[in-house]
Amino acid sequence: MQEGGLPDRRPPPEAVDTVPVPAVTEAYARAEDKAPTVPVPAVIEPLAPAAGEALAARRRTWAARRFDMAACGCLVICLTLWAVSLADVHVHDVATAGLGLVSVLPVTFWTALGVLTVSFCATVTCRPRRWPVLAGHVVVLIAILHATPAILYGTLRYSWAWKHVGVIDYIIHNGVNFNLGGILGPYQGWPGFFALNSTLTSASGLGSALRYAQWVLPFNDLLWVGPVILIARAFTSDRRLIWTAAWLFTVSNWIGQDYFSPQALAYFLYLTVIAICIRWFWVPGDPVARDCPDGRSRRSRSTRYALAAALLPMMAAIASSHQLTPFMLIAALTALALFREFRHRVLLPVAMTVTTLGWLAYGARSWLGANRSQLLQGLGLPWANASSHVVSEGTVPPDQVIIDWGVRSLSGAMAVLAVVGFVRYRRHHTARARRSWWRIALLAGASMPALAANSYGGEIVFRVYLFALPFLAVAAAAAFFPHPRAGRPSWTALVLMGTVLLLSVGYSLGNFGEESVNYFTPQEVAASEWLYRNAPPGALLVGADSNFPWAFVHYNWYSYTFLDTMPGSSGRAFLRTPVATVANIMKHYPSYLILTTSQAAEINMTGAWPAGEYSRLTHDLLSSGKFRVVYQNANDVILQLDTSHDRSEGR
Amino acid sequence: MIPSADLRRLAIALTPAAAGWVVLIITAVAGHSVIRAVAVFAFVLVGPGVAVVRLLPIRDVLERGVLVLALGLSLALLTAEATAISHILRPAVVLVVLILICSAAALTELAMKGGRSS
Repeated sequence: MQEGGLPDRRPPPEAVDTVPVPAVTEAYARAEDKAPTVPVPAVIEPLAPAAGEALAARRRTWAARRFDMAACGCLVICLTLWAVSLADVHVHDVATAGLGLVSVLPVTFWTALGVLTVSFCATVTCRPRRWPVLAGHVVVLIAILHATPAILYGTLRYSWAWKHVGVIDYIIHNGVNFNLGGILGPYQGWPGFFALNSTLTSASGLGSALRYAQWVLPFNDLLWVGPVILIARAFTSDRRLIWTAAWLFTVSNWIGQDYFSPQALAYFLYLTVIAICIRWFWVPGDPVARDCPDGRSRRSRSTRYALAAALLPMMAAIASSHQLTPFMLIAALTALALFREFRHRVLLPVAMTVTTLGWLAYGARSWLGANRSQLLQGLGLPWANASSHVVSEGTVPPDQVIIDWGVRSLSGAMAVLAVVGFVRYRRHHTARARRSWWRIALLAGASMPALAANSYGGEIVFRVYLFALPFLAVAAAAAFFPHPRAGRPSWTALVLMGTVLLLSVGYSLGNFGEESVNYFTPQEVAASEWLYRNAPPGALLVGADSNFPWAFVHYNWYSYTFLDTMPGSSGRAFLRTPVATVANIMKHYPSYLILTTSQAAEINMTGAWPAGEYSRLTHDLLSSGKFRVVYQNANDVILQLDTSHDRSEGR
Repeated sequence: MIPSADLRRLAIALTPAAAGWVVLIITAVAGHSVIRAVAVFAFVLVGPGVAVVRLLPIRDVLERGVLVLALGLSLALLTAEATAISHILRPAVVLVVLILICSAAALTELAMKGGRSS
C-alpha cells in the first residue's frame, strides 16, 4: 500500500494504537545491530543456536554500553569546554560589542554547544530509552544557554528585572496597595509573584531579591521544560519525539521572558495546567493516553473532580500574578472545550474565566479604570498590533538587522517545521491518532486571537509565539519522528543535527545578541546604587532612557522622566535644544540626570535617536556649565542642575 | 498497638508539616545564614506541593515532580498574596499557614487511607 506516493512503512493500525510504545525498540535494534562485530575464526565450530543468541545479546549490550559511555563522555567534554570558555571571556567587552555575547564568547563555547547538539541528536535517534542521558543533555543545554550570563556578569541583567526587585522591596515594607498608581502601579494590581518573593526574601534573611534573582533565569527554563515534556507525552509514547520536542522548545525560545518576572512563573503554571488537562481529562478512547491517571475514564467521577480541583490554586495564582496569561489560558481551555477535546468542558473554562474576572473586579479594578482607553486602543486591529514593534531597518545599526533576521528566520523555521511535522504525523497514523493530534493545532492556534485584542506594548506578537511554542515544538519534532517506525535513524540523525545547529544560530543571535543592552557593568550598578542612596524622597530622576538598574529600591519615593519617550513635538524640540530642555525638566528640585553605558547601547540599538546623538547630548550637557557632576566613573555620570548661576544672576 | 506500616505512613504523611516547623524554628534562631536561605526556599517551593500531591492518584514521577512545584508555588503565592493584601505580610505568618496546609493534607490522606482500609 502506498499513500501520497511514499512507501508505506506503517504497521497495521492495531499495532500502532494498542501496543504501548511499538516504537523505539526497532530504532534501537537497528542502531545496536550496527555495532562492530567480533570476527569469528573459521576453525571454530558453529555455535549452538542458544549460545549464538547469548553471544549476540552480549555484543548488543556492549555496543549499547559503549554508546552510553560515549554520550556521557560528550557531556563531560561539553562541560569542560564550557568552563574553559567562561574563563576566556572578557566580560567588560560585552557592553560595547556589536552582537553582545555572540561577539565575545570564544570558540570553545560554540564548540561545547556544537558537541552537545551532535551528541543529543545521536543519542535521541539511537538510544532514546536512556532518558537519564537525554535529560542530562537537556539540563546541560539549559545551563550553557541560560546560566552563562549569571556566571559571567555578577550583576543582575535586564532593567525590568531590577524594577521587579523594587516592587518586592516595596511590598516588604508597605504591603500591597491597589491604588498606588504611578509608573510601577500595574504591578500592584497583579501582586502574586511579588508577594511570593517578598516572603522568600524576608523569611530567608537575604534582605533583597537581588541576592538570587540572577539565578532565576536558568531555574525558569528548567521549570518550563518539565510540563513541555508532559505535553509531548500526551500525544505520543515515542521518546525520540518527546525529547526532541523538549530540545526544540529550548533552542527556539528566544523571546527572553524567562528572567525574574511574573510572566515566567505564570507561564510555568499555564504549561502545567494545559499538560494536566490534556493528560488527565482527555476524552475516553484516546489511543495515546495509556499512562494518564484518568485511566481512560475508569476513574470515578469524584476522583476526576478532585484532580480538577488541584488545578484551581494554579488558576488563581495565574489570575492574580499576570495580566496576559489568564486570557491565554482561557483561550486554550475554551478552544479545547469548543472542539470537545477534553472532559470538564464547562467546569474548567468557566472556573478560569470566573477567577480572572473576579480578580479584575477586585485587585485590578483601580488600574483598569485608570487605563481603560489604553486597553481598548488596539481592539480589532490585529495587523497594527502585530507590527507595532517593527522599526525601519534604516534607523538601526547593521548588527541589530542581523539579530532581527536571525530571530525571524528561527521563528519562521519553527512554524515551517511544525506544519511539516503536523502533516507527516497525520500521514503515518490512523484516524483515531489523527483526531488526537488535532489538539496540537488547536493549542498552537489558541493564542492567536490575542493579536486582535491589544498590542501589549508592542510585544503581543512575541507573546503569541511564546504561548504557541510548546505545541509548535511538539509538532516540529514530529517532522523528524512522525512514527516510531518511520525513517532511517542515520539519515534522521543527520537531518536533525543540521536543523538544530541552524536553529541554534538563530537562537544565539536572539538570546545573546542584545546583551550589550541587557548587561550592566559593576560600575554602572555602583552609579545607580549611589543615586538611590543619595536622592532624597520626592526627587525627580531623569534618564536618557529606562535601560539602567533603576527603581530597585524605594520606588514610590521618586518620579521618573525618560528623554527617549518624550512625546511628539517636545521630543523633536529636545533633540534641537537638548541642554535647554533638560534644564527645563530639572527645574523641579531636587532632580538628578543619570547617563550610563547601557542607556547609550539601547538608544543606539533601537535607533531611537540618530547616530551620535547620545554622545552629542552628553558632551553638550557637560560643557554647558549649567550642570554639575555629582557622581562619575569611567563610563557613567550623574548630573544635577547647577543652580548657583541662577542665584548669582538674581543677586 | 499501632502496626508499623501505619506508623510509617503517618510519619511520611506528616513529614512536610514537620519540616515546616523545623524551618520556622530555623528562621527564628539561625540569623542570616545559607542554611536558613536553603531551608526556606526548599520548604516554601515544595513543602505544600509534596503534601497535596500525595492526595492525588498520580504515579508518574515527572508528573508528580511538576505538580509538586506548581502546587507548592501556587499555594505559597496565594498565601503570601493574601497576607500582603491584608497588610499582615510576615514570614512567620506565611510559614504557619503553609504548615497548616501541609497538616490538613496529611490528615486528609490518613483519613482517606484509614477509610479505605476499614
